[in-house]
Amino acid sequence: MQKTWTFGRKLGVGLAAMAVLTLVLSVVAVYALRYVIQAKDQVIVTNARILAEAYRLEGTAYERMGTVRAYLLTGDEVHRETVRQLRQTFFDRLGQIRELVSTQVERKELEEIGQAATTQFDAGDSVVAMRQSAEKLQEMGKAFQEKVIPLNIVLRGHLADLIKHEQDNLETAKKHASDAANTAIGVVIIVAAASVIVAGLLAFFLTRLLSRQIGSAVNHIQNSSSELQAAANQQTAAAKEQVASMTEISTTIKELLATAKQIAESAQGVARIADNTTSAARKGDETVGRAQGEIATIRKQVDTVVEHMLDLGRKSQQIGGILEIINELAEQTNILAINATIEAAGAGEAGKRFSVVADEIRKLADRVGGSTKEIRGLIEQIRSAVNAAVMATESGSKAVDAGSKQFSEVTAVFRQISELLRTTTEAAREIELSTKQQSSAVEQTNVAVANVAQTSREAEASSGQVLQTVGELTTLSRDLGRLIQSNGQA
Amino acid sequence: MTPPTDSQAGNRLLVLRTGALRCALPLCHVVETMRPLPAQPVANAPAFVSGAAVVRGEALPVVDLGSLLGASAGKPARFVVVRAGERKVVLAVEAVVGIHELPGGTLAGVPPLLSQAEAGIITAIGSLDQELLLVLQAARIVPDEVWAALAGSEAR
Repeated sequence: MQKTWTFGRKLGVGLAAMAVLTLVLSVVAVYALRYVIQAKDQVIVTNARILAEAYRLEGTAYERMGTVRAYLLTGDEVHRETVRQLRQTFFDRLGQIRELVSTQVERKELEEIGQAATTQFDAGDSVVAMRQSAEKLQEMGKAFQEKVIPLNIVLRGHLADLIKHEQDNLETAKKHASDAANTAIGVVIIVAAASVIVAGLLAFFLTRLLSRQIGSAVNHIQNSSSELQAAANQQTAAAKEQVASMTEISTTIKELLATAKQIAESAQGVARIADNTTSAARKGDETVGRAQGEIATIRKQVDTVVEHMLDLGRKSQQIGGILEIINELAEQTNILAINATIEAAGAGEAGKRFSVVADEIRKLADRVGGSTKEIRGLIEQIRSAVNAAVMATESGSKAVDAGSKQFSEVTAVFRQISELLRTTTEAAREIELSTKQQSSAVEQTNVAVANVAQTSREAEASSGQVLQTVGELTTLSRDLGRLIQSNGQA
Repeated sequence: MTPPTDSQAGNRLLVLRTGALRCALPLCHVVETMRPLPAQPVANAPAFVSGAAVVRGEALPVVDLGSLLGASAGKPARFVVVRAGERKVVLAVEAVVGIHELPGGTLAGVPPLLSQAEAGIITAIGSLDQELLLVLQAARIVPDEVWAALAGSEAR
C-alpha cells in the first residue's frame, strides 16, 4: 500500500475490498438463494400443487359419489344438478393437473383416471336416470352396487396411484431442493469464510499501518501538546505580567496626567506673573526714564558747578600771580632796605635816621613777605580745595555720566526684560497649551492602555482556555494512543 | 659806595643763613645784597667756588658759603657782595636774615683747633636767638690761587 495514501484512502481501499467481498458473497448468496428458491418453487408450484390438485380431484370424486348417493336416497333435483356440476368440476380439475404435469408417466396416469372417471360417471348417471322412474328403484340399487361402486373403486385406485406418485415426486423434489440449499449454504459459508479471512488480514494490516502512523502522529501531537502547554503557560505568565505592567503604566499615566494638570496651572500662574512683571517692568522703564531726565538736569548743574570752580581756580591763580608780584616787591623792598641799612651804616651818624627808616621799611617788607606767604598758603589751600572740588565734581560728573549710562543700560535691560517677559508669557501660554494637548494625548494613551490591559486580560483568559484545550488535547492524544496501542505504549 | 669803617659799623652784623648754619659778617665788610646773578664756571677753582659773576660791570668770584663751611645747603637765593681787602667777593647764601647789633662780649674767640681747621675764615662764635652764629672774616674767604685762576680766566 502506498505510504503517501491518506488514512481515508487506505480505509476506503480496505472498505472497498470488504465491499467487493461482501458483493461477491451477496452475489453468491443471491445465486444460491435463487437456485434454492427455484428448487423450492419447483417443489411448491409444481409437485405440491399437483399433489393438492390430486387430493382435490379425489375429494371431488368422493363428493360426487356422495351426492349421487344422496340423490339416490332423496331424489332431490338439487343433488342431481350438483352431480352434473361436480362432473364438470372434476374434469376441469383434471385438465388443470394435465397442464401442470411434465412426465409421460403422469400423463398416462391422468389418461387412465380420465377414462376411469368417465366410465364411473357414466355409470353413475345411468343410475341417476333410473331414480326418475319409480319402477326402476330396485334395478337402480342393484346397478349402483354392481356397476357404480366397483368403478368407483377403480377410480379411487387410479387416484391413489396418482397421489402416491405425486407424493414420491414431491419427496424427490424436496430432497433435490434441500440438496441445492445445502450446496448453496456451503458455497456461501466458504465465501463468507474467505471474506472473513481477507477482512481479518485487511484489518490486521490496516490496524498495524494505522497504529504505526497514527501512533507516531499521536506522539507528535503529545510532544506538540507539551510544547504548546509550555508556550501557553509562558503566554499566561507573560499576559499576567503584561496586565500588571499595564496597571502600573495606567497608574503612572494617571500621575503624569495629574502632573501635566499641575504644570498647566503653573504655566497659567507663570503667564499671570509674567504679565504683572511686564507691567512692573514698564513702570520701572518709565521711572528710569524720569530718573534719566533728572540725572541730565543734575549733570547740567554739575557742569555749572565745575565751570564755577574752574573760574574760581583761575581767579585764585590770578591772585597768586598778583601775590607773586607783591612778594617780589616785598623781597625787593627787603633787599633795598638791607642795602639802605648797609649804606646808612656806611654813612655813620648821618645815616642813622635813614638806617632807622630803612629798618622800618625792611620790617614792613618782612611783614608783607610774611603776609604774602600766609596769603599764598591760603590761596594754595583754596586752589587745592578748588582742585579737590573740581576733581570731586568731575568724578561726580563722571559718576553722573556713568549713572546716566547705567540708567540707559537699565532702560535697555528693562526693555529686554519686558521683551523677555513677553516671550516668557508666550512660552508659558504655549506650555499651557502644549500641556493641555499633552493631557488629552495622555488621556487617549490611558484609554489605549486600558484597552491593551483589557486585551491582555482577554489574552490571559485565552491562554487559560488554550491551556485547558491543550490539557484536553493531551488527554485526547493519550486516549487516542491507548485506543491505537492497547498495550499502553502510547 | 663808601666803605664803612669798623668804628662806624660797631658790632652790627649782617646775619646770613646757609643750610642749618647761621653766619654773620661785619656790616662794614658788606657792599650790598642782591638777587642771584648768572655765574660762569672757573677752571681750576676749588669746589666751593661756583664760578664768576658780573656784578655792576665787575667780574667777581662767587663762593658758595655752604660748600665753604662744609654744610649742606640748598639753592642760593641771595648774593652778598663783601669786601676782601681790595677785592670784592660774592657769597652765595640761602637767605639774608637781617641786620643785628650784637652787644660786646657775646662773641667769643675761636678755639685753636677750629682756627686751624677753617684756615682763619671764622673769627668769632656767638649765639643769636639760641642758635649758633659764626662770624666770618671776609678777607680770608677766597684763597690767593683762586684769585690767580680768576685772573687767568679774565685774561682769556
